[in-house]
Amino acid sequence: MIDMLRRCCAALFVLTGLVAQTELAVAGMPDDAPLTVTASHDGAKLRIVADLQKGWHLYGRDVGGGQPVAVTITGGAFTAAGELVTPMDSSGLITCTAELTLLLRRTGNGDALAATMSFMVCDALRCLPPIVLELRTAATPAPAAGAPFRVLLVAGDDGERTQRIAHFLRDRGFSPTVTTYAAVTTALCDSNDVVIADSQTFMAERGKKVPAEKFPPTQTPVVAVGFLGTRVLEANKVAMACGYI
Amino acid sequence: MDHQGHGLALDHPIFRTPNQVSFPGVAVPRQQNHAGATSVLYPNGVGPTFTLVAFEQDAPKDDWNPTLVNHEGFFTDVPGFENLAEGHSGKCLGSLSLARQGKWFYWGYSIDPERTTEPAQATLVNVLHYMRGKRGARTVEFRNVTRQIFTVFLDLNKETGYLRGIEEHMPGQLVPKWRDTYTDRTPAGATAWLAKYQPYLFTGKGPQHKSERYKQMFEVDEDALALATPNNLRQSLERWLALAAGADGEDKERALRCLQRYVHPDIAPGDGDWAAWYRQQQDRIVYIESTGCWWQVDPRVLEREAAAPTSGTPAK
Repeated sequence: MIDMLRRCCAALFVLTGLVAQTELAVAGMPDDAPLTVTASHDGAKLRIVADLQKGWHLYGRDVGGGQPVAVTITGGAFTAAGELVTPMDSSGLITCTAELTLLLRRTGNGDALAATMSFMVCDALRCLPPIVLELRTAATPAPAAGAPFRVLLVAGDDGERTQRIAHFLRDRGFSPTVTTYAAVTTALCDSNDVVIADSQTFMAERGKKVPAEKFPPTQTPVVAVGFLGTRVLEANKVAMACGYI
Repeated sequence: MDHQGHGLALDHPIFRTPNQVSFPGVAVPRQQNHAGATSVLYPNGVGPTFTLVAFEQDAPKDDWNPTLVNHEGFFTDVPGFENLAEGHSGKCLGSLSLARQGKWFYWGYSIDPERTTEPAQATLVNVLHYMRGKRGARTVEFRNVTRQIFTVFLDLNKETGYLRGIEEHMPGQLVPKWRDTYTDRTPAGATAWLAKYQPYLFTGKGPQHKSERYKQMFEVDEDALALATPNNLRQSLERWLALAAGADGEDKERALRCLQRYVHPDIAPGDGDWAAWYRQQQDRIVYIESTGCWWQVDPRVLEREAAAPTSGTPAK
């Protein structure tokens, strides 16, 4: 019976696919995960099909257990035009083969679309570690290959080590800007895609008067490195660095 | 820690996207201080051996890289926290070299990138790509360590014979009234005291909970204790709600005090209608100790709501 239902579901999804669909590549699924995920969009709606093995489920809403499935548009010619619609049961569980949909609003030309899908998959006894998938159309440039991937490198000084790091980043397709802890500003951080708050090892930094604790507030994600990184985190009341190191 | 890591969360995008990363590893005997311990990355503990991988080509000479030591429970209860790799050191299991909290990523290896190993270089590139998508990621603000710190004093005693935690630091972090009840300051006495009171310890509610030496002071919640409702459990919250909706009496008064004590003012009902409040908020809230012991909105919920596409709308 279950097999028959699954075949019916699959047939329905095939029919849905008769509308011009743009497929999205799905990356990040662990090899042994008890589900597969495919994704496509037709310019009006993002469709994600999760096919779960028997006995496993996702959460469609927060029920105090595993992390519910969430989808965020991260790039391309669209933005979300509504909430993620999930076919959950009364307990909030998503099982079997399920189509999750998200209405899209066009913000640019073309079919490019990039998104992340995060969730935990669980059975009756346990949940696997959180999974974050990257969904991307072929037309969506990878971050480092499309628009410049701007990295702000904040260091104690702009000496040889800092230049070597900038060179390392440039060689790998990033567009680095170098500044120091003494000079960094919110505006400079906010104008980049990612900030690296660099540090040498503990003994190399000890005794230097680097104002890491005055790191400016920013909306940009920060990769905090080593000893000075822990000072940046602690100053920003980020719990993971507020204890012993 | 040195230049190595272990317990890597290899299924995570930082090890898979855009570079598929493969770390050659070396199996080494389990560290003595890891015996019997568990962590997020070792939920079943460490086996007879564990695998070390190199992030840097050499160990720092007469120097060290910092790990984020979790055994005090500083960040165990932060929703959405990602444990991604443990650092190799003599510290307890659960000491991290790679981790993410909201828009913040910790990279514990400080050597020049050119002196990092190839897999570590590929991982660092992946970290930048992963974090690029975390603009707008939310987390909570640290206020105090969790009550787990008292268990750590017992653990340290078991591991090393260290007694100062039980004799000095534990009573030093209790408000005077409850410090006076902790009279048997031996390992057995600490074990017995914590068995009775630890589920009801709280802090972060006012000047009585501040300490220059320890930052925070803990108090036993007499109301929660009397109702046998450990203050961090959802079933306790629901018990308080049920009592608050019930007949007048001492239990109702205690329940109302618990609700006022633990439901964050930002979301508490202005009209006192706790039942309506819970219907509206039950899927959004979580109890977090390290922010000051509050039922508050899960930062991941706020993140989803801010990003427009959110989970939670059933298919019609």
